[in-house]
Amino acid sequence: GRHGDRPEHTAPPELFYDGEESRKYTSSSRVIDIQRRLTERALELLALPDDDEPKLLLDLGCGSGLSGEAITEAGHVWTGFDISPHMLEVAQEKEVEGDLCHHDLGHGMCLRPGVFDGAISISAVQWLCNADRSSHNPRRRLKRFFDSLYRCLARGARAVLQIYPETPEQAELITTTAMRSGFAGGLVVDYPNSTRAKKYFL
Amino acid sequence: MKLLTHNMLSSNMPGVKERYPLGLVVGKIELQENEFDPAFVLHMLSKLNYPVLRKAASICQFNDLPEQPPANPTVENDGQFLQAVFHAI
Repeated sequence: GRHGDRPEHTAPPELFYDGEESRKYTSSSRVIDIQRRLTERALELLALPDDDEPKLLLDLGCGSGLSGEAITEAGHVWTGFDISPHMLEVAQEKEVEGDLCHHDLGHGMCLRPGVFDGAISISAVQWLCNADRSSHNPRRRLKRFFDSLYRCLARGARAVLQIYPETPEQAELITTTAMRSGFAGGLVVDYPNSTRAKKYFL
Repeated sequence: MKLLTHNMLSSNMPGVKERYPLGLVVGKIELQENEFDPAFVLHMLSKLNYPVLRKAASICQFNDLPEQPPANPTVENDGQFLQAVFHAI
C-alpha cells in the first residue's frame, strides 16, 4: 500500500492505539472477523497435538483480546503481552480468559525457560522493525525478542507469527533474525497472488 | 493475574540478582469459578515450580497445598490435591 496507509508509520503502537483507536479497532466487525480467521490459521499452523489437553500458549501483541478469544475457543490457556495500555484495557473490559501483561516485546520475553507449549502473534511483530525512539535499535530488539522467545518455549514447541511486512527486506530481516535465534521453519504465504488477501505467517 | 502466570514470569532486567520468582504484592484477590479440568492441571504441574506456587498461594491466603506434591499424581488417587492446585493457579 501507499506510505501513509500503514499505522506503523504514524506513531509507535502504544501511542497509535490510543483509547479511541483501540475501541474503533476492536468494534469493527471486519477487523474482528479478520483477526479471528488469522488466529485460527495460526493455530492450525501451530499443529498442536489433538489430545483434548489444554496447552499453555503465548499471544504476543495480544491487543484487545481478539486473537485471545479465538485461542480460548480452541480450548487452550494463554498469556497475552502487549505494549498498548489502551488495547489491554479493552481486553480487560471484555473479561478475556487470558492473563494480560503490559510489556514491550523488544525488551525480550521475561519468562522461565522451556515452559510454553507454543506462541502465536497476529499482526504485531512488524512493529519491532520501527525505530520509534532514538535509543531503539530494531535489529537488537528483534534479536532480543526472538532469542528470549526461543528460550521460553518447550522443546518442539512452535511459534507462528502473522506479520504485515512493509517490504521484502523487512520480511527477510524478521525471518533471518528468527533463524539466527534457533528457529527452524520459514515463511508461509497464504493467497500469494492476491495483493489484498496475501498473508504472511512466519 | 493468575498465579500460573506469576509462576512463569522471570526478570530479565540487567543488574537484578534474583531473577525468579518475581516478588508478589497482593492488591486484590479475586476468586474465579472455573470448570475443573484434571488433564489441564496435570499438564501444568509438569511446568510449575511447585514451591514458588505454594509460597505465592499462601501470600494470597490459600494454604491448602501440601509442602511436598505427590510423586506421580493421578486423577484417580490425587483428586483433592489436583483440585487444590487448580484452585491456586
